[in-house]
Amino acid sequence: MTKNKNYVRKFTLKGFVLIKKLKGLEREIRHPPALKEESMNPDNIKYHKEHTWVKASGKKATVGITDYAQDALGDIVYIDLPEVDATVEANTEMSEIESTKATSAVIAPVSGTIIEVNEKLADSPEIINEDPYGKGWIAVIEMDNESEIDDLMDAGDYERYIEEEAK
Amino acid sequence: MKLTIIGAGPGGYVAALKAAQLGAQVTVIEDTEVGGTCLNRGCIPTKALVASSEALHKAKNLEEFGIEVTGDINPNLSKIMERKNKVVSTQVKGIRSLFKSWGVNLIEGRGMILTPEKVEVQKEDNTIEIIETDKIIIATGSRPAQIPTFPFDGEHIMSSDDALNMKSIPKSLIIIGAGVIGCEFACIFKELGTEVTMVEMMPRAVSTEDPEISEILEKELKKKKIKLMTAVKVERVKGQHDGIHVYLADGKELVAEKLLVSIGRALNTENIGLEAVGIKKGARGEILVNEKMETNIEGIYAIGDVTGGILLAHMASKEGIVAAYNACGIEKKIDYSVVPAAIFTSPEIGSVGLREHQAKDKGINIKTGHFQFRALGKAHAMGEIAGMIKVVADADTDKVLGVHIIGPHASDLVHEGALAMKTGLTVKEVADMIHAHPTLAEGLMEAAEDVHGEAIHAPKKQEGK
Repeated sequence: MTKNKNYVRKFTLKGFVLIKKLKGLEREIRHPPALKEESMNPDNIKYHKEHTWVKASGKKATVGITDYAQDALGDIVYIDLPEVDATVEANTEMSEIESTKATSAVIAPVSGTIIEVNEKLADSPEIINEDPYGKGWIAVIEMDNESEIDDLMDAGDYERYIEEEAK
Repeated sequence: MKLTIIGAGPGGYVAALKAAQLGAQVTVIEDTEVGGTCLNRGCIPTKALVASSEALHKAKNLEEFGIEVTGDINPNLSKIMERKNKVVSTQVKGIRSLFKSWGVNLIEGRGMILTPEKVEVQKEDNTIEIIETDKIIIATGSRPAQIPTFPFDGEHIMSSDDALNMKSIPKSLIIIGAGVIGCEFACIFKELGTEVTMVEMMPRAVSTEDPEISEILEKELKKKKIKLMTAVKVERVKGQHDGIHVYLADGKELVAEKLLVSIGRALNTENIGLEAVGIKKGARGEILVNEKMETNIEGIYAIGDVTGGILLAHMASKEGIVAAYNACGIEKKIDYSVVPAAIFTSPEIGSVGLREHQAKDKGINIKTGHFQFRALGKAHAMGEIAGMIKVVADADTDKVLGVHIIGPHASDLVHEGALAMKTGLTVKEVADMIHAHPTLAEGLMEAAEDVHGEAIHAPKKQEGK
């Protein structure tokens, strides 16, 4: 399907989570349980400022949205999954996610080619709410440039970043 | 004054009634049924089918509303068609009785202009009647265009006319052309249980709409699991024992039980006597008219699809009114500045005025505002949260230039935008007006506010977004 992204002005997850700030609805930023487990090995999971995460293994990067993002979005009702073999560029839209509150662009944390998508999300997008770091993964990207990972935040940085955002 | 109108579609019948109101002695010639394509083979019957498919959709999702159903929910196509036919016949009777009431003389048969003062009617029983007249309005409309290499057969290769009279719900359907008609039928048949695949030559569905509207519609089609292939041409079509095979230019092959071809419409300009009186036509075969809807021959007017403008029933009706006034000696010009349009896909589309890219192409400095239905309480209560409202405004004057809506009741909501444009309101004025809560119309107010980054129920606009 051809997309006309150039025409579209859409809020990204980062834009959307600002609502919480505007409405004074911030809740205490919780440590996602999945993240706690990963904190044993924090170098393996990285965070993008647009609230996506990456778990890299060699050239393969599994990506998803963060717990903070899913919580801000509320009940997720649809995700427009990227297509396998599609190329994605870091910091651009790779997918679109719809919750009962908003439609938001999911920004790719790294560049590369989509080699796998989580088809289960097509019929059960709520998995993202339930398990954003696990069963709610969105896609696997074969990275063009593994060093892009180095530009991303680790868990501690991300936590400070969202605390800063929420101020 | 004697006026003869050829064609009793939404152009011709409205012109007839207006002229009768103005005191003309009106004769209307119609070869099929009053109401034309719109009432018999277009707008109205499709909307009856849309209503049935929406009812089915709601019934299948009653649990969402806390209603338990025991037993199966199934569409019965013959009953759906029966209902549709009843809706149509009620409207047909309505027009016929209006004709009677205003003294419009309806003659059934094919009309052909002999001279500017004489029109021949060939009746079904092959008798011929000659009508003497002072003025003529041509309102012969259009018909589904076919692809010469695989013409309609009424059964497997269908036009929209054929699709409205199907006897059973096909298991699978390929639709060539993802324009207004193709997308409406795709939504109807998908809901009834057909596997639908659409093939479109243009890079996007409903390519005459704002690109953001196309994008959301494409996503909604995807959610329904309607397959859409864009920017691809059909090479050839072949009927085989296992169905209709469609071969695409990119090498792909599709197979389905039936094929619907909705690639546009052909104008009905043949055998109506245009050549006999020397009426000029344009490059696409459309009858050329001035802003009084008059052709190059004095006293002969043409309205609606046959003039090749935007093929919309309401355009034809307005043109009919303008032609009727002029034929009756009261000068009136057509105003195309505000033409709202509706597409009855699921969700609906309503649009008026400039699309964002059109405004940019014209070199206008614009601002846009957006608002998503899912931010409205009413949309949630209705269980219809998909879609958005987009306002295109002149950044210098703040005037509303266009309103584009996809979502629940979009076809009705768009008229607030149309009125704002017609009366030259600014975005600020639309936003300032109190809109009732809880309504979908609040969305237009918020979209107007969003033009200036001031929508209450939307996140703060980010720089560069």
